[in-house]
Amino acid sequence: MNYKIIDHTADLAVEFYGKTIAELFENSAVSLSEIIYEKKMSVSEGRELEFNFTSDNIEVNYIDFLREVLYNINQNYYYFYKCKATFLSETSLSIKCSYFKLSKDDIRHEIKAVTYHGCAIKSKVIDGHEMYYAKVTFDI
Amino acid sequence: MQFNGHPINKISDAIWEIPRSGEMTVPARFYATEKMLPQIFKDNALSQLLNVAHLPRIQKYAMAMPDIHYGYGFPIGGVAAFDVDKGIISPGGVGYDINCGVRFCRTNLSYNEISDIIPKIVEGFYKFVPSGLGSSGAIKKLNYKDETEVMLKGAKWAIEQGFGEESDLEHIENFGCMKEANPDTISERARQRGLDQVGTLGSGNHFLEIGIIDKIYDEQLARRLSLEKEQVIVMVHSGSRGFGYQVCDDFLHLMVMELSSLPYKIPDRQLACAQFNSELGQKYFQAMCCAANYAWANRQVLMSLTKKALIKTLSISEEELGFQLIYDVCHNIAKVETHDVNGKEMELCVHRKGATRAFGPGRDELSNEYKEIGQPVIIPGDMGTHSYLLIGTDRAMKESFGSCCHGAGRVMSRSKAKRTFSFQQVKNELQKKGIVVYSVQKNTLVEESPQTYKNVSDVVEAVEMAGLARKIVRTRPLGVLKG
Repeated sequence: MNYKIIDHTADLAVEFYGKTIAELFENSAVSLSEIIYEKKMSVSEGRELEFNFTSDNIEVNYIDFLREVLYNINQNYYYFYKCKATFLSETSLSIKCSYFKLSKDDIRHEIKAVTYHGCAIKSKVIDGHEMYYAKVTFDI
Repeated sequence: MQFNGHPINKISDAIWEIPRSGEMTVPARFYATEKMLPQIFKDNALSQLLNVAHLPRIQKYAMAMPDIHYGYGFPIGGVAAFDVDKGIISPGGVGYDINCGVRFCRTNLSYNEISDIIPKIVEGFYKFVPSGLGSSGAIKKLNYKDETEVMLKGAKWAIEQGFGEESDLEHIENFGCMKEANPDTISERARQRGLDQVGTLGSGNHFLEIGIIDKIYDEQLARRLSLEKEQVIVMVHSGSRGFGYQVCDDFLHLMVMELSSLPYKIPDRQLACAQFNSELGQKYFQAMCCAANYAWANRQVLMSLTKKALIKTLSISEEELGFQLIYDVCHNIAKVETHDVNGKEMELCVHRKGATRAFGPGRDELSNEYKEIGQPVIIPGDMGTHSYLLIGTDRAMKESFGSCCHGAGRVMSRSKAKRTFSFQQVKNELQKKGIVVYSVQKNTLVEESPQTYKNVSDVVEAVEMAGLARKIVRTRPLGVLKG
């Protein structure tokens, strides 16, 4: 399980998961594509986008990454199907994401924005495995 | 009575206060009848209101209107004012859909003239008004020069393009334009996103509704506004679309990056802010004004397209239709206004997030038509129930910085709505009530089903009990276009 939708009165809250923090970043981008287009897709050869973030705060890096992913979905109709995150230092990371282009008509759920509200990256044991997770609130 | 260990004091039958404690700058006040309290506690929105009460230089109270519900950062239905000299401005206190708002229009038509052709009318709306996810194409794609004009002129730009009348401006909050707009503050991304969305409804809770006035509460005011029972009215609800979302996103990010340099702690990053008079604070305010103007241009075009749809569908003349804007109010905005704070006139930056201005009589900001009676206030309910037109009061000026609620307020999450209701079920229930609904996305209809909102009549009752606005008329929906 890479994500779970959580009830939120007005908007959309999602808990994303990964075995490592790097995988949490990777899964979140792919899961966000799945949620918005309401389908799971992949291709053998897509294009690649690289994102770089530097902040003392991992949550800020994480939300800023999701902001970039969402912008590219909303504006360019990219579907991100695979990502690879590499920590360059404690405060900086690079994420390479593979994508292909869909069209406006493929979008099933409009998400306006990623919020910073209450986001914290933590770990917990799920089904006997320690997993990292982050709850993110999206404006819809 | 307590909330998360905080005592709650009853100030009156519809006003409640959580006293200042710990690091709170001011007390928190919320407006609700006693029967609405369990829902408000369950939703946990008060925790967000308490966070707002911690912000620096906030004046009087952190406030929430009766439609309060859980959001992010500020609660929805939140009102907060900060002094402009040393206080702050917060993009999270305005929201992403900057100047999302609603307009209320009258016509010369009566129920009997259209009762048999509601489906045809809603179909006409769908044909003429672009709606749904990422909708575009109402007007020719703008170039950067046109888009700059939209940012600077707001509703007036749309009127210059032939969408509406010059006199409409008198019936729009701020006359449809915030003069402080500065297009130099707008990012390339926001510009790109705004090029093809003027004149589009969008999705989510945005709607276009045709209805009738089914109850009059204040005959004198209704007559003054040329409103009568059984008369057909139209409401348009939309905002600044992707342009506004991007403006908020851009500046929220910049303010989050500056958080560690602030001399105060913020309880939630989504409340990131800058001093109003700082370079960053001013840049955000000017950019927000551009987005507010974009939203007014958008609703002006939408209203004009709606009028055109009615003329074509009904095969009548413009004179016979008698379409006239009563008022247009903003829901998500920050404005510089003068208010009395403990006996002293102060210039404040008033944030309204999911809240409406409700100025009483005599304010300079109102047009001549409304200066004497106060500002019309529109409170739409869900698509299966009533909506209300009210008038702002002196009491609101003293009590809530001239503010009121913006709608019914949600009580159920969209995901729970999808688990609970089906598209056909919602459509059938509305049909039984004689309401024709056209929804571009099936998901939207289910997510916005009537059961997901508070009872708007309870909300309006709380507004009246607190004295924030007075009812003029109630309307009932006949047909709704959802994005």
